[in-house]
Amino acid sequence: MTNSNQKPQNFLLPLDMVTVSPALERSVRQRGILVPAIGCGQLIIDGHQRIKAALQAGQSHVPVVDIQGEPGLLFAELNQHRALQPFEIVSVFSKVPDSKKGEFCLACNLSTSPQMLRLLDYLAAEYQNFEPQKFNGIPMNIWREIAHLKNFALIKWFVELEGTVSEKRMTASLLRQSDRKNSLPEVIEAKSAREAIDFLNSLVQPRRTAALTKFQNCISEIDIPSGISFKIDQTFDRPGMDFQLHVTRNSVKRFEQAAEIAEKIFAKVEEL
Amino acid sequence: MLHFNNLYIDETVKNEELVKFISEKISYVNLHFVSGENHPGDGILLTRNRGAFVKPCPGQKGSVCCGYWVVEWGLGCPFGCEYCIIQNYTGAGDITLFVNWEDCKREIIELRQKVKGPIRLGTGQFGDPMALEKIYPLNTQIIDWTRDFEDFTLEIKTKSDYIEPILLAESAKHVTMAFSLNPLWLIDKLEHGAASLEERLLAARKVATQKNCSLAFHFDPIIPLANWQQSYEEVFNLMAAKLKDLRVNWISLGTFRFPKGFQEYVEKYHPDTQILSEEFYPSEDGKIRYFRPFREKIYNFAREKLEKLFPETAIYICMETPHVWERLNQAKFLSADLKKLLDARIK
Ligand code: SF4
Repeated sequence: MTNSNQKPQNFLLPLDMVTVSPALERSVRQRGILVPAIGCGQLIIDGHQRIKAALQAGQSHVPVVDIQGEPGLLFAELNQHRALQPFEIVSVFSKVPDSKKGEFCLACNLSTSPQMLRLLDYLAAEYQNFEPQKFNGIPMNIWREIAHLKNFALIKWFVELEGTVSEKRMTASLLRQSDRKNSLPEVIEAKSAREAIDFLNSLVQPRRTAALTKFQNCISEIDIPSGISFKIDQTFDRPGMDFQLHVTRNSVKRFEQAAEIAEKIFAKVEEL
Repeated sequence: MLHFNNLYIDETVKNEELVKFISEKISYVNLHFVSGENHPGDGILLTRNRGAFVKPCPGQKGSVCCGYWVVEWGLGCPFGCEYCIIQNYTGAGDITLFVNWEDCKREIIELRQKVKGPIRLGTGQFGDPMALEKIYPLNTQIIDWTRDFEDFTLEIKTKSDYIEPILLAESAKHVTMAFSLNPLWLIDKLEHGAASLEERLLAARKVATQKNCSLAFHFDPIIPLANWQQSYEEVFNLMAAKLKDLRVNWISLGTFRFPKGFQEYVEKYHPDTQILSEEFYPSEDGKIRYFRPFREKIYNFAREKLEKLFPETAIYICMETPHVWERLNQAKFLSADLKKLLDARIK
């Protein structure tokens, strides 16, 4: 292990995708780099944010500790304490020799399944074509769900889809289920994750969707008085309905009304 | 001959006769002496059962259970059914066998002394018992230990057609030979290594006619892939034709279900599997099952056909939620009712 003051030129991560917080930038501007970066030969493998902040502050030389080993594996080892961002994983993955790719995945808590390796290969080649915020906004457990997709166009579509993380997680899970059923189309027209969820639900859960539609149609035909509300188990695992009644002295007949409503629904929706 | 990469022998049983017997009946590459019940993986482990051999069936919380007793002789199975939960637990193909049979015998005798009324005891909960019988003839022994028991049946459940031990037994009247069935094309596709449908039915006929033992059949898991009604109806009709005039104690029905995480396991070992192509939802007991109304449709279909063909037989549903029982019977149905229904068959 050697310490030096270097002019860094080669980086394991693409520096343009590394973000620097204003606080770090201020600190580096005022005090310089306090904790040295880590290099492996001429390659910087850790401390990208500090170096980017120093460069932005006009400092050309930074302290570097040099260590020996396979840069990608060292990177994973040095970052065990935090969840790596997707761009970090795929950009490092692309630089790890094939013989070490499995080891790298395990060090990053990823599976070494052929599906995951295929996805990482694809993303390593493509990630710079995605909008960085969208790409990095997808946590690794969602990437894991979509790793089975062989159709890369769908992966691209998925990354660019507008939606919250939980909507995207739901979409990914439905994509997987749809793939299991062999019902996944080549192209999905939906523009947002919400639309995609509705569409995929009808592909993946035709039985449930049909039963729910039947139930909703039935409800819309019945005049339900105020003071009566009810719920069903949306997966139909639990048959029947939960009724809630608000009864006042003058509306005790709601019990009978509720029973009539229940009879009507049961008559039309045998799934309940 | 069954082959294993590794034979692990627990130090505490290394001098047992049974260990010597098993070692000679299998082939293996490496031999290791280990301590304890934990399977190191990729092979067969011979060890002691440090807990109980005889246990009440772990009929899951939230399912209607039939009051069955099971023998925990180890874990694992040389067959490779794609839907098998045991393969998922063990790491595909690994087998553990307990060799302290003296404890097993004692516990079975104690069970008969302790429990009043009918007992149904089964050996098929932890793997296919007949698939291992040639190297680990425990069923042969239990048949012998229990031959004078009253109000008792030993259910041996298998997907093999190996019935030699029953044919050779002095008496097998207290045995219920049970076969798990599925349509032939599903057997070919999913039950790797198991006997064909015809072979199972032939074996059933043979034990029943030659040894006068009772029969049982399990449609579990029912896997409703393309043309499932037609495929299962063909099996029911074939059963009726082949088993004419024979006593069938019970037929159970159970649709495919699995715990969380199982789908990933299946996809790893059987990437082209079709068994996950239906709609699945978690039930209250944590198991994942087909859409509940669809399960009811399957049970209604199978029950109606089977009841016509086997009017004397108890047809019941295995590992289902009380909701489904309630809807199929149009009345509350409890575990105790199911126990009574099945106990009545062995009187
Ligand atoms: S026979 Fe039973 S235990 Fe053996 S692999 Fe098939 S399902 Fe599993």
